[in-house]
Amino acid sequence: MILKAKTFHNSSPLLWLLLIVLFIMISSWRSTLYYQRPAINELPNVPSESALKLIAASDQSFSYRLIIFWLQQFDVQAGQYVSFRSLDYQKLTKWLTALSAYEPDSQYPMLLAARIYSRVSDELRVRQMLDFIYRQYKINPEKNWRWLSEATITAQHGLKDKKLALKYATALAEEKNDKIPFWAKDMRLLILEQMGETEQIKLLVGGLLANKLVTDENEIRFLNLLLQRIEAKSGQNVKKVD
Amino acid sequence: MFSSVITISRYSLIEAVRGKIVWVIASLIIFAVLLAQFISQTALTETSQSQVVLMAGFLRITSVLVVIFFVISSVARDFQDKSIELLFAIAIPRYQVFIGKFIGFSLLALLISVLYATVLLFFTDAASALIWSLSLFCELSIVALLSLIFILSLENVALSLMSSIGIYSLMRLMPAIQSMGEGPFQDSLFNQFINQLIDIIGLFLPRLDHFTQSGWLSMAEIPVAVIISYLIEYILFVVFFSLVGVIDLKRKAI
Repeated sequence: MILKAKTFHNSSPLLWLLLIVLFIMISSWRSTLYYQRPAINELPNVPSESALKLIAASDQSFSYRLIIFWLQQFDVQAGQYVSFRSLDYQKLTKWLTALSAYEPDSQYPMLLAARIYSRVSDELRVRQMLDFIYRQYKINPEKNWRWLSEATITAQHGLKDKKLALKYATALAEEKNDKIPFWAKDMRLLILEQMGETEQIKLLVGGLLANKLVTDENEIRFLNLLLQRIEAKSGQNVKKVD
Repeated sequence: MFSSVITISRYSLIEAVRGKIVWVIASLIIFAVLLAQFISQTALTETSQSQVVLMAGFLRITSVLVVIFFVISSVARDFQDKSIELLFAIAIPRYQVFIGKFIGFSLLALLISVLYATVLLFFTDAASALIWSLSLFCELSIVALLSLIFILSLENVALSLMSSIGIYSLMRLMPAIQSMGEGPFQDSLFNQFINQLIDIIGLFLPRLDHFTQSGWLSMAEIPVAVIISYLIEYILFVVFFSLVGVIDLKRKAI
């Protein structure tokens, strides 16, 4: 038997008509679906450790990246942007904590917390994110110091909460790890200066210099300049009082 | 011995190349590169790590499916056109037919691994790409071997596909399944029995969770112990499964 190549002309006109009718029916059905705006999903609870392992299917990095992208894109649902204010930040914090433990070397969850989720106008939510960063810093100061320094700035300038900023800056300053640079450790002194705590600065800087805890020449110069500036300010204040 | 094994393996590979499987692999690579480009637009940080890890994960999963589908469809075609019966009828021992087929499918696995390694070189360093693709070759080769055993034994495409995909998932998920069994409230006699059973099954399956980790491609240095571990696992299980396959094939009536 010889098989001939089929052409479109071989098909019956009735079949063509049926195909066109079906095409119109599918298009109209889909267009009605389009106008039914899908509901916005809430952030689900974090799965257990064993469930996360199962999701990982033993390729941890691959599933970690998939989950982090899913979380990052969670504010875009069904073709619309969902405000961060409508996200459950308690669940979000749990997700970020779980992801930080899931792939400890990655900085992604910390970046999302410091630069995305803490940029909302809701003070409570900002505090939740800053607290998450602080707790992660306590777990691994060497990896997370830069995020805590960003959190310090957010606390000071975003929340205008100098006490909270001082708490974070103190945590940075008191960490003995050499990987944390001086500029991050000096944030405590600058915040104290803005708070007018001159005596405390003198005590701290004096202690650092007298006990030779600082050996870097530039840092010693900076601390001396800070002391001079404070002395000059206190002198002006004394004159004003006189 | 070697000439018949080489001939059978050569024809298995030729069938793969002529069957346009290379085009499937090329399409997967193009899709993976587009995926990498999309990720570079979406990622806020760790862009290169995200690109290479997601690409590698995608390529691994899809290549496993390609190999399973190819091996099963190739042997099923041999059953259909009776060429497998011809091979069994002529004076070639059955173990040589089995080894020849396995080597042919492993060469396909090697071809896929080399192509993927070449693409990954644009996204990561040579050492990581080499170690990852060597592991991918071992993983695909084990998958091909198991698919070959299933189709030769079951002689049914749907059953063999389900069995191959099922056992691959089991090999990858075994540690997660085991850890789920170790949780609290699992101390009943039935649970203990199930846990023991899972442990015994796990003992005779390769730990594919030690193979082809996407994370290796973003690591500064991959421990040598990791490479040795998967190579030993590969050699042990290829010999073990080949023996199982040959024993099963020898008892098969034409």
